[in-house]
Amino acid sequence: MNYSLNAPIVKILIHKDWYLLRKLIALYMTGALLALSFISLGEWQFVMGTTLLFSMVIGLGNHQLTNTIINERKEQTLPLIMSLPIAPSDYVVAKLIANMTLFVIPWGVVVSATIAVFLLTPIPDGILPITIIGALYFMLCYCLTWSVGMISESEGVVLFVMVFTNCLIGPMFYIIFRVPDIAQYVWSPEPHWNSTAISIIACLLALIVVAILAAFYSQARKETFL
Amino acid sequence: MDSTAESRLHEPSGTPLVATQSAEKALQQRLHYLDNLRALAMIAGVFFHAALAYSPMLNTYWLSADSQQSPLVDVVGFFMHLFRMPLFFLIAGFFAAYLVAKRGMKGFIGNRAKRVLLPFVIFMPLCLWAVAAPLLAAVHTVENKSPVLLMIANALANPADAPPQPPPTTMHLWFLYVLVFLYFLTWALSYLDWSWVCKKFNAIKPLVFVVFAPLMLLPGLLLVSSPLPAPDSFLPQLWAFGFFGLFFAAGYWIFHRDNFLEQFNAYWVYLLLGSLLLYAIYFHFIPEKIIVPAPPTEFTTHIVLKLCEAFVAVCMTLVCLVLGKRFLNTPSRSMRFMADSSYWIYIIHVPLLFALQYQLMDQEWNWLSKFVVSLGLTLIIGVASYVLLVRWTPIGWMLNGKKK
Repeated sequence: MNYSLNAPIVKILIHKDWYLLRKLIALYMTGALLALSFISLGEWQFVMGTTLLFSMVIGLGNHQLTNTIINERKEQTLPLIMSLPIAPSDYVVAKLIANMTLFVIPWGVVVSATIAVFLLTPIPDGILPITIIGALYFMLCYCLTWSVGMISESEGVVLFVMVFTNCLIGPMFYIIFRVPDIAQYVWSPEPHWNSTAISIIACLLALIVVAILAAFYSQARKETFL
Repeated sequence: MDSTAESRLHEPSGTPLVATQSAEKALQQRLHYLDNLRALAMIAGVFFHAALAYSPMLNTYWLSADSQQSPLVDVVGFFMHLFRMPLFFLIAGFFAAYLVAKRGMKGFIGNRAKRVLLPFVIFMPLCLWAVAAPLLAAVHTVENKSPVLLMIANALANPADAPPQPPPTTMHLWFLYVLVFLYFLTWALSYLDWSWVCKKFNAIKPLVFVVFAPLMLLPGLLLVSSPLPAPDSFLPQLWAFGFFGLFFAAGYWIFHRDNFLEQFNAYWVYLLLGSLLLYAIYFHFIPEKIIVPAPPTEFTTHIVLKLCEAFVAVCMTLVCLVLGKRFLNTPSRSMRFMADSSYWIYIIHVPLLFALQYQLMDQEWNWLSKFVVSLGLTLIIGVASYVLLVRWTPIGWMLNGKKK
């Protein structure tokens, strides 16, 4: 396959998505800041704050995918973009960078802040492995939805994936909390990075990579009409 | 920040905006009184922190707490404490609106990143080290140890019995940290239409403002104990947004509001007297010794304390602004120098004060002599280091911009 990236167009497409999503980012980041400021108020506020914090991350991910991928299809912007001198792979690179930066940066901030809270407060640090697993699961949900959106370009399918992966959050934590190698160390003062925790993290990372590559593979097979 | 400007007004997005007279006027001229008031608020912070070593109320909590104390320190210090930072945040909000109008949102973010975020990132670890190093030395050398020094000495001697380490704090640089969040909110909330809120506020009469504004501060204040603690945690504090954030918002609004301060010209004496009266009630109810974490206060007392805090903060901030505009609104080389140097002095003052006050703890002087010496030396070192190391160097460019 002979492919070279059309960098100037990719850059413009990335800026376009950043520009169109700036209000959304502002809204969700404000929500996240509010959630973060709740955390130190007390016990139930801590639970409420962290729930709100991760709701903001999930909301931001789903909302931006709907805006940048699904609406582009619905509002006929996609045919216009694809009429530019651009290969489907350029399009998927632009979408990957635009969407991932807008999700990974807030996600990274939230995850770092959560880890900092655990490390700096009397909350037992043993909770860290499960926190990382949870955070990576949210990342996987986002990448799966992004990938399915890029491949299918169908609102219904994307909504189904969003609902399905979000429904699995509860069961995922339920199962993880019952894995003996993880459950027994949750309330210990030190984090235990044993082989089970590392394996789960590795699996999640592998699935994230597979989800992203699947979108690239699918787009690479598409043919342009120019 | 240099407050002289060309006559350009921008909306957050960067497009020209139809300006209010007040905003247009603010962009045309240098606002000496605000520069000077901000500097005074910062220098007042140095006075306040220097005095805390001799405060009976803070004796069990302050690192350099001295055996010599005076209730006068509490009376004066905690009165200043109620409006010093509110005034600072109001002015910060005013200048935020000014910068957005002058340079657009992008220019505003870039400027604040350079003047506030970067100094915080650079000086926070340095200050932490500069506080920790003399502290560890003082634990071994000071004979008349403060209760905190004594606790640290015991913890070092018996690590097994040591209490859990307190979480790291942003120390006296908390205001920079809070400002970063407020600047972020300035950007985020600029996408919302605030014109209807501004219209409602613009129609408010001065006396209604004096009654209404403190009530808006009450929810935030009710979340914390009295006297107000510093929101120096790395976790954003909701109460700080509900208190200092609203002062910041008020400053932002005042920039676009014509003749807001002039309405209070006739009332400043009443506001001052009212504040003193409320402060007397407040001082009667606050605990004699500050304990961390604060024990629960009776609900009625808590409400009374918070109402007093809110009213004194609003009224005294207005008094400072009115008097500042009347007496500090002329160009003066000495005031300009103070305005320029105050940021640097404020950043370095806490480690300096601690280091000096540890040396004075074993001296048989009275508290006033120790206070004057520690404060005087801190200011002298602060000014000298500003002139020699900061004013004409990249540190000075970062803090205040390049001198022309």
